[in-house]
Amino acid sequence: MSIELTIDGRKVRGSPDKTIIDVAKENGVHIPTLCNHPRLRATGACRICVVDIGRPDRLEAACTTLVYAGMVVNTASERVVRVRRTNLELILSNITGAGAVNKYGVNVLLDLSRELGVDIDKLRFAPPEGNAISRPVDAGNPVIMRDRDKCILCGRCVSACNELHRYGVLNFEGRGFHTNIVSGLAQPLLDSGCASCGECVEVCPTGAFRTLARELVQGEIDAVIETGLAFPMSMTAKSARDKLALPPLDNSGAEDLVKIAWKTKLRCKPAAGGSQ
Amino acid sequence: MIGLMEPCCEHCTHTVETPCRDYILCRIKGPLCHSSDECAAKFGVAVEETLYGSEGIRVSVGMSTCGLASGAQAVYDSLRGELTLRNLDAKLVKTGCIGSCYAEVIVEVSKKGYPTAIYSDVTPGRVRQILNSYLAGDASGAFALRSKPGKIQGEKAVPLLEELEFFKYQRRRIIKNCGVIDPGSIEEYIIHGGYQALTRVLKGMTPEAVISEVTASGLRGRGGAGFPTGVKWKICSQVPGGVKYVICNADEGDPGAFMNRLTVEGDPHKVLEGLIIAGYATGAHEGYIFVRAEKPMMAEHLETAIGQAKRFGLLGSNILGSGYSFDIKLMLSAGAFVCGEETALIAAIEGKRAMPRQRPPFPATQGLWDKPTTINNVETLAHVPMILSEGAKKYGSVGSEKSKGTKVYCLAGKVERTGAAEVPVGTTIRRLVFDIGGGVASGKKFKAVQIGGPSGGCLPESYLDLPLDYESLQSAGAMMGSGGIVIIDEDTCVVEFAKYFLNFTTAESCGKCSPCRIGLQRMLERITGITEGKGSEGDLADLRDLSEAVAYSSLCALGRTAPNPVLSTMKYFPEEYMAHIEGKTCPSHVCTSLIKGYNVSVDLCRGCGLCVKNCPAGAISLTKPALGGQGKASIDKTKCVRCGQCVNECAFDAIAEEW
Amino acid sequence: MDSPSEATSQKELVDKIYPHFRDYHPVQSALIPILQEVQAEVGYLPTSALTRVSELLELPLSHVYGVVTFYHQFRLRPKGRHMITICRGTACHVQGSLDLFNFINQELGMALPQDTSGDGLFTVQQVRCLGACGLAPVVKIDEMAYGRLDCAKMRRILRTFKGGGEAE
Repeated sequence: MSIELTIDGRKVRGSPDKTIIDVAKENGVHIPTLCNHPRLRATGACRICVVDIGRPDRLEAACTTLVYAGMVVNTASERVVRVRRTNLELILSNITGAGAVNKYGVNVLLDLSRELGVDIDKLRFAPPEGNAISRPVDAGNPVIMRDRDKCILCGRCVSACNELHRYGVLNFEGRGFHTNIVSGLAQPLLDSGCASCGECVEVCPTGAFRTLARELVQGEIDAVIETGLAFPMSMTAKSARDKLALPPLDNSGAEDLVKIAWKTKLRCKPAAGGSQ
Repeated sequence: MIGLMEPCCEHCTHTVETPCRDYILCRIKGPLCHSSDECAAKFGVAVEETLYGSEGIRVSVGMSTCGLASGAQAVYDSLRGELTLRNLDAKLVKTGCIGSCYAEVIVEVSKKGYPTAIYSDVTPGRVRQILNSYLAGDASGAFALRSKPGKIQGEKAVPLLEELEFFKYQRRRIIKNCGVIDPGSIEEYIIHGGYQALTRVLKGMTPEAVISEVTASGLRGRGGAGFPTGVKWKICSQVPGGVKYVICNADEGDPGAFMNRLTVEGDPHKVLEGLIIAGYATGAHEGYIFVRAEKPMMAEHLETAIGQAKRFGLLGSNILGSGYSFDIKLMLSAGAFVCGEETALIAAIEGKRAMPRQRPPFPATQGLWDKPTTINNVETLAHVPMILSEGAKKYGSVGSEKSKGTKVYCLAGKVERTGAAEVPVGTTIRRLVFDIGGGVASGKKFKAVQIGGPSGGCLPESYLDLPLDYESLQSAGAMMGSGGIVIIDEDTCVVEFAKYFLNFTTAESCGKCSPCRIGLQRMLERITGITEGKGSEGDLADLRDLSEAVAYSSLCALGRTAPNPVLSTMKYFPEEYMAHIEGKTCPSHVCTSLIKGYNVSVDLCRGCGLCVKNCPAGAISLTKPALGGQGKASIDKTKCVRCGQCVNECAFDAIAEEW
Repeated sequence: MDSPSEATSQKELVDKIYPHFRDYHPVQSALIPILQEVQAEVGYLPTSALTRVSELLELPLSHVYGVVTFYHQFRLRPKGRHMITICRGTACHVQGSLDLFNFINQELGMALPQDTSGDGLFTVQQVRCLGACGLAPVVKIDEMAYGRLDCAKMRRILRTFKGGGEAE
């Protein structure tokens, strides 16, 4: 069953179990987003997709708000545009270098700044001298590199790691301004049971999770694990199990891989002469 | 018959396994199932003994967290010693707080047939004299009396409790028992009318009837948002079948608010009663009470009360023979203000980080473990028993048009009489601060009143006649919040005060959404700069822009309301901000970075050298006067780090700050 | 990281505590209560204990770590013999609790982010509100609360502890 609502003055129809973003998209209305991802549950973290639905004291995130009959949506009122710009400037003020490219070679933040009219060279909310973020790079895992200075805490990697194949390696650490994304007990990726499935790289919009797989050549590896996922990597689960004297894999697939990741430490040695 | 809760004779067949519906009423009106003068006498004796012990004397000490911090333990020990010395088997009781924290330690003495006398500012040294005079029939020297039957000396000179300014304007319903009953005694709760509402509900009311009554009362959530309680219960109750939950939010996190703590430490069973009724009305059989870790006494009292309720069949299966079953689990919060937000609280109970999520769906339809869940504040639940035992109409006979009933407010800060007071909703700020609170302490000038904690606003003198109700406060840019009211005077810098709240909200932000996580931090950086003399007018514009983004687009109410202290102080005290920005000075003499220097008065300085010794920067030296004698302290301004230690150390007030 | 013997004893402690939480359904809701109990026993949360909790509750280690670092109550490092808790609620703030906090740090020779004194006698922590606002500023040392404080009174109280005495 579908209901009628108004988006930017135009009457449209949509299903009441859909979000504003979905209905807008179906009707050709573009709403900018950042943390939203088609394969992950929407969290409403970035607050870029906020729209005005007539509440006097707040805007709502289009990605998490379901439509209802008679809803009146304004996707680009003056306030909406101002607030979106401020939120983007805040995000940009908290990372180093706005020009970070993701796995697909796209600089999402740069595109978004152009779309919203934010000048990345003239950010208004830079931190005072000496307060800039600078966190060390985690390059221990030869396949996946973490460059935390580019992290905008959109949370996609945590969602991917916990929802898609449920490896549960990544999560948040701390709270508030000093929140970080860590693996295991804030250990390097290599020590935290990361199965190198590569979903974090796949979904990261800013390249905070990057891959070095191109540089990884068949070299000495302790154990390998088959993923058959977004990330083509030559690893077989059988060798891992043999090496670790584990019982043979049955057909439960991903579940079993999760348990291995937690209870053992699969190590991947980089190729001799390969870069980290 | 040993205690009030025991059967009077073999006619009484009540046990937890075979409960009797009239069990509670029987305790104070019994026996009901059979006629017996002997048994009636037994109950009478049990009530007397519970309250007064075997000698007919009751002595109570206010031993809530505030009482203890004032030294109540020593007073209690001293009383016990004195009573033992006199060989008096008096009933010595630890009670909660009656709310007048300014007068602690509070001791009440009561001899059967005599008016109860209340003593304030009691120290162990005064205990003997108090007992001597009261037991000899003389109440002069008491802080107040609970009644004046003309039986005790000194009655005329001592006011009745309700004649005192602090108590005169109060309508004490929720906190009626606080400071009166022993919170660790279910018997005393029952003697004072407890669990009668539950009896009435389970005996003959349908859940719909209960919801109707609560709706008719006009009760609104007392946690801050003011959502009509009856409506909330109705939504949850209408979700078809299955598992449901009720949660009592006892995570009182607003700094400056202690209404919940007072209620729970003084009368925990009232909260349990309200929660059980809420469960019955909404169809839940499991309840949680979520208590904050920083207030451990609350948890202790609740745990004891839950144990007692279970023991006497008021929790568990087939409560009072009604067929309704309900259990309560106590969960201790691990320390996060954001847990006051319903979806964050749910996440905490689920063993996750307390990060809020989008609403709708509301917890009433999809809450704990995705089941319909009703979440109510402690204070809201504390109103429920009265509504069900005395009726919605009586309940709504006080209060304002849109907000019926009473609210507990906490007065703290620069006010003469600090404490907690329960008044009808709609009472003006002036009445609360000046009549009940006694105005600004030490003859200083009133500056503003902060209402609603870190989500609220600072209101200046021109708002003193504003009624304290949800709508009026919101339109003035403040918020009812949980009811914490902090008074600030001429010695409080509003810029620094706003910075304090931003410090709080940035520390408590969960970090999920960008505007709150980063925006508040940027606001804090700018306001800190202003207090350090590094601010510019551009900072004010930034603060406004940032406030808009944070207020309009944050995911939850923590973020959305966090700019309020900044916005309200900027609105009502622009001259203070400008003084910091343009004048590089702090008119209230608080922002130490703006101290121009410290000056030693040569007339007052005795050359003792204490300041020299304690200066962390080695900026002070003693200069020898030309004619010999004591040296005088001299401060090198280039080395001075503005710590203020020298001012603290000087016993002769010889060093003054230069602003 | 814990030494192997420490690791074993932490694991045993968790195994001993775990059965108390059998009536939590689903078992994940026992995470915070179990962590609170471990910390109550040991004074902090050792790594091996966290690992064992994650195994028993079948929760990812990163999830447990995320919870531990989110909440104010949990500590990953051992604490001093006495816990000084300074209330930083509004009323206390207005009555000078920040000065008191700085004073205490200075007296104990501590500088942030350090929170435990060099001699291991005190750990200093701030909390947002103890609820005794009528007696601001308030400081607790272990379970004992002290109200209406100033620096001079605070110094005297600290000295009674340093002298090997307990609460006065």
